[in-house]
Amino acid sequence: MSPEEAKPESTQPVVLPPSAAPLQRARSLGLALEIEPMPGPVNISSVTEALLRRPGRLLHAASQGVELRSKLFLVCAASLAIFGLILGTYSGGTQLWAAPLKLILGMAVAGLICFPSLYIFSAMDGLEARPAQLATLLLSTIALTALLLLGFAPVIWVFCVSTDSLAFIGTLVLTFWLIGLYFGRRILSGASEALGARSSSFIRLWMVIFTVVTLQMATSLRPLIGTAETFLPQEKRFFLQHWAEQFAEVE
Amino acid sequence: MHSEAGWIGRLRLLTRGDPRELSLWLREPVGREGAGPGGAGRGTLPALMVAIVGGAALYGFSLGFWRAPLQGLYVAIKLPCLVFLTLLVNGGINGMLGQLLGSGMTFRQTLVCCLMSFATFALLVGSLSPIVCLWVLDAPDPLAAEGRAWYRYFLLVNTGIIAVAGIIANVRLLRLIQEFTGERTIAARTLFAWLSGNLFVGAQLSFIFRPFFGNPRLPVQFLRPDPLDGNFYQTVWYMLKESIDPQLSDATGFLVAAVVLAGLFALGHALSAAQDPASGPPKSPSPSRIP
Repeated sequence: MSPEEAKPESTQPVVLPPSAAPLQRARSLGLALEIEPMPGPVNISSVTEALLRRPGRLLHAASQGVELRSKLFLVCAASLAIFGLILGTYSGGTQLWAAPLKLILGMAVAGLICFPSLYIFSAMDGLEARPAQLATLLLSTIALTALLLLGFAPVIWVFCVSTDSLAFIGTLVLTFWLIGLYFGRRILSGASEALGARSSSFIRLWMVIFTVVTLQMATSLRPLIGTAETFLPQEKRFFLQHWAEQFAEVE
Repeated sequence: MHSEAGWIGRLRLLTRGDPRELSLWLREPVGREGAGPGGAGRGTLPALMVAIVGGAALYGFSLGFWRAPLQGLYVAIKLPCLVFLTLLVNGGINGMLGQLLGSGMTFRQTLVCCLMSFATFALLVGSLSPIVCLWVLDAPDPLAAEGRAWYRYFLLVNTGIIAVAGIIANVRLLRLIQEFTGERTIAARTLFAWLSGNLFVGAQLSFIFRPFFGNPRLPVQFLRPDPLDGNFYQTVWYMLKESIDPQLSDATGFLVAAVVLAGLFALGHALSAAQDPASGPPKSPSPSRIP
């Protein structure tokens, strides 16, 4: 067993802030955020399970110094790659590899450029977390979003093979994207409250900013769905303007 | 406590619908299902699949039988396929949402839970299929003049049967999730998520698998010549547009749908948060120290 895998077995207690409110609040959102050690070795499978069922285990593992970020990144990359591949089947050809690549790249850039603001916003909520801890939280948020998108991939595929409407597929993907980010936000605010943040209002605000950034990123790296003559767009556009034009073209 | 083993015993349990018994069934470890006293160790999945295939095929046959016996055979094949494909497409996301919403179910338990619900539905509609068949035998010929009016009546009654069976199956599913999780709010939230996904995908798959009832003006077919051309929601929108204002743009339709969806989502979230007893003030002021 590697040293990394041995660490989560530690029985050292994790002391939470002197209030039961964060945990109760987290449970009210349907999120079981009990901070507890991973029952077995820390691998991709246990990290995925923890993301979905017991995010508190990730917090515990991170607090014990277990390297989670590479595993979380792998979960993100693999999930987004498969989701992108399914999106690519709408047009086929170049999009089969371009869409997964753009999704992974876009999410990575969005995460990187939003990280400084997450640090400041979480501090304003009273969270005293180290950048490394916050990076794990951010990666957990993105990984959960990506996992949900992977879960939605078969649904997207059913519609990709049966409809030509770019607007319909676009709306569907946008809906699933927002649902994924909604659950991602839950893990971020739940974890920050469990770690001692006074509130999660600034983190919620940050999540809105992050959502807008990902939507703009999807526009800047267009097309994710459909085809284009060039790999990247020649024209700069705001995402709302781009959507409006796409809908206008449908008419 | 359930001790009935074998397919028949399992199906009896399912039809009784006691949430406690079904919850215990759901908690049985893989490979030990039905291993009660004198149990033959029959698996859960085969029992549920037999119920779905049998019930849905019988009812499917009765739906298509009026158009032609061959159409009945086609629908008998398609209806169970529709159920399994819906579960296949939504299996992953149902499992994920079940876990995220706090149901505490594994992917396998989520799948079994959904199969139980579909099996209940299939048993209900399957049990009514002899009555529908008899009714069809007494019906006018599809190509006769009075056939068109009868077709509308047939559609209406069967829509009612499907709706009632669906409601019963989902009420039972809600009770089962509630028993399993021990919390009403989580159960309602989980059911809402699963139901939304299954209805959304099921509608599109049934559009692809049409015809089911067999319109008398159209030929007997396994699938329409263009099964993958278009989608259910666009077709509904075009029909609505024709009846409201043909000049309405598609973008308006998408925006209206998005606003309605967002509103429903926000309303559901607000209602579940308001009903959740855990969202009240903390009961214990002591520090949380979790080993």
